[in-house]
Amino acid sequence: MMTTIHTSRFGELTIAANAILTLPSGMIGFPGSTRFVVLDHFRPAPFKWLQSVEEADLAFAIMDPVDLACDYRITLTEEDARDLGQHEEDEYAVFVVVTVRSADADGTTANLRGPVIVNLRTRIGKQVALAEDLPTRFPVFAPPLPGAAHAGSPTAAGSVAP
Amino acid sequence: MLALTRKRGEAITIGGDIRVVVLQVNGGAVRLGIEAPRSVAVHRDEVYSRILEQNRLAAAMPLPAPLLAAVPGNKRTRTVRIQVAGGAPLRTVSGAHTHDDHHSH
Repeated sequence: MMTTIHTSRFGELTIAANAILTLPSGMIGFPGSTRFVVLDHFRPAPFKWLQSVEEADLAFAIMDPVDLACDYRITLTEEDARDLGQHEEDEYAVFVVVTVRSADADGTTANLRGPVIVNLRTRIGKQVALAEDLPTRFPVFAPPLPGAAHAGSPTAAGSVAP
Repeated sequence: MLALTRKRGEAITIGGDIRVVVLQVNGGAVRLGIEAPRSVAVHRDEVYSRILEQNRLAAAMPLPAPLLAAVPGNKRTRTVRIQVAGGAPLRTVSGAHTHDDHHSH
């Protein structure tokens, strides 16, 4: 089934109804919008948009942290896991929110502290606030200095061997 | 703002189902124990505010932000691992089909 949504950035879009993600708590600070769709306009660039279905002008640039210059190992709380649902076969997607503050490369950063996790079976997602001390402004383009931004440090990972 | 003085081991109750206990006072640091229903999210204020601030900045960006069409060139060999506190890692899918193929219709 297809459905039409209105967006201020991308115009009117026809999307598959089953492409819609539900974030019951909304994005942090934006509780009024709970249904989103991920738009993938810039392939092969890794950036996507998390577009609200309900609010035409609410959209967040996001990316998969696999494209960042750091490992990304995070620990969810039991509450987060319960909200997302956790069955044996479930698979999850992870996105981090991207902001562009200026035209220079290091003005583009990703928030590693508040990722959006999506259960791909239920299509229910949540933006979680991590307990790990990860940067909210991790540079997306500039290669980090050696030893900087330990997004993948064993302490943050709960020391699980690969 | 309501200001209350509490000693170690003393508590306050909020709204009947939230209880905040002063566990330890050490110099300038106070360790608090919080009992709240699962539905109530409890965060250190600064963490929540920082995420909120980044979300506000992100939501205020118009399209197209020119850099968003660029490829960072970082190698896709990085590890992404999610674990639940005290549990096994969750299975993550990278490049997952969360997006919609509206542009191909």
